[in-house]
Amino acid sequence: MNALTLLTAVGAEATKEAVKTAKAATSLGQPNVTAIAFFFLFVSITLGITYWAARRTRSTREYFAAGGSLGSVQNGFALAGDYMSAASFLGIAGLVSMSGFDGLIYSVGWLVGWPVITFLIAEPLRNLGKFTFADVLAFRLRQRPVRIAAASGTLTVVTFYLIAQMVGAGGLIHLMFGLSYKVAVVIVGGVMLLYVLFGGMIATTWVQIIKAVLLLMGATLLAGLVLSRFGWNPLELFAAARDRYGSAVLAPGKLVASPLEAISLGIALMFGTAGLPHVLMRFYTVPDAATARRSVALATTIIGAFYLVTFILGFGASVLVGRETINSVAAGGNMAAPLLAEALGGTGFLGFISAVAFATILAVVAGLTLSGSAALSHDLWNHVVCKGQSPEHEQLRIAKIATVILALLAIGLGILFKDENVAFMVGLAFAIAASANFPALLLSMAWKKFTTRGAVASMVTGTVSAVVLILLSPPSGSTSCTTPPPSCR
Amino acid sequence: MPLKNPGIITVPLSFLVGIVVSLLAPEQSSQDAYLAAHQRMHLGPVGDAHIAKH
Repeated sequence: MNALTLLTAVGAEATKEAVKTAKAATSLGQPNVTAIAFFFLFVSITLGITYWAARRTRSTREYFAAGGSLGSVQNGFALAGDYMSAASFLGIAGLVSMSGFDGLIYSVGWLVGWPVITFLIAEPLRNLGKFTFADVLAFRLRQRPVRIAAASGTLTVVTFYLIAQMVGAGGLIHLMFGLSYKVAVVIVGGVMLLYVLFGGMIATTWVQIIKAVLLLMGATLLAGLVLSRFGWNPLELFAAARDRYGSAVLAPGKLVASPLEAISLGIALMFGTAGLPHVLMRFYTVPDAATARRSVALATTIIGAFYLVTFILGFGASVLVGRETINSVAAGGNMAAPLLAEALGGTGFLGFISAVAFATILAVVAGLTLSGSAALSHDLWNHVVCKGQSPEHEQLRIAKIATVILALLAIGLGILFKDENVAFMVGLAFAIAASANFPALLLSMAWKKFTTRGAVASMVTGTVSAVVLILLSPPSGSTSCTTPPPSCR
Repeated sequence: MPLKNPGIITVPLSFLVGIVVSLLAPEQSSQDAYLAAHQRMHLGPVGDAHIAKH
């Protein structure tokens, strides 16, 4: 990156503020025919898949793990689809458009979590477990205490993450389609419920695969349109950004002020990824450890490529749309990518990108809900309440009841927490995942002397300390999804 | 609490508590089961069957 900065800085006396874009008229926030058409197309296709999947979902193994029959390509795309949320698309592009180079810290943090999964987690997890990461702890520790602790950790992370996604979804859809906040939250919750309740992991997987492909296509197309304006040379794009905003856009700056803050955020983003229950659960959908390993490699490649593309989108938006315009539509820059799409491809392309963002949120909440349902049915009901004696059909029924409860909870909390700071919720979810789930999981795999008491103490300490310290942390000072990126991740 | 994200404190703390509590009260059954867990972790259920045969 240094070389790049130098290259683009060569011979460039700042001709700042050279270009000033007139405040572009945008159709964001008005019902967009293309967006609605694409959205209905997506929902009808995915509901068709759900119908097909429902007929193949009869056992808990099919419901929670798609029968363990997915290939590495399917699971790789689904992992990427589970992980790349609307916020990493809209949020990182927005952050880069407003802060330049600094926006990369979130991309890097979220990407670097994947090698941690590859080298430390994926194979042991696949080999030791059945549906949830609590299975790994329970393999050699006492079942009930560790399952209660792990399921609590899972449900806490899932709840905060779900609230964040729902609040983010309501805000985004309100901005993009002009629907009211509540209607948006109910639609997201309702469609997600149909996927998960009837189609289980098979339907959820296909929703995630389709969403991953659409998101990659949409973002790449948009980046292509940006680069075509700069002779297909990213360096010229960076030079244009430097000409307009000064060379500071290409250097680390003020977004994360102190090194300690940067390391702390990095730790939460990295190890949080390896403690996210909905990501971990996906490793049970493949037949063996080798397939699990190949699917992580593919997912990491897709996610890495995607973050590189969002970097181009961020710089593209700051040059071609302009920071003032982006900020005037939504503070924090979350609408940078849609505005860029409109500027380059017109209302039709804006509609496509908006529908992709909607689909993205649906796929993420479906994965989250399914992992919460597995914790309730498999860990708490079957292994804690029934001591592992619950019959198959009963486990499946409990799982479906849990899914309905979680979906209603997500809708209710989404409406209730409308004005809650989304960044706060996501910070909490990642910090809890990193400090409650990850240490116990790693120690149980790697350390012979680890004990049941140690595992429970570690998970409780992680959850409590993360919650307390975040409550005491300085407010990041913004609400809803119009905030900076960590917000809607 | 000056940090916006507490990861640098809570993640090491969680490891530390897990390690200290485990060392204070050892659990024999967990240590006994570790070998089986270790083998299965790296070889999978197939490895299990293979080992059981010998």
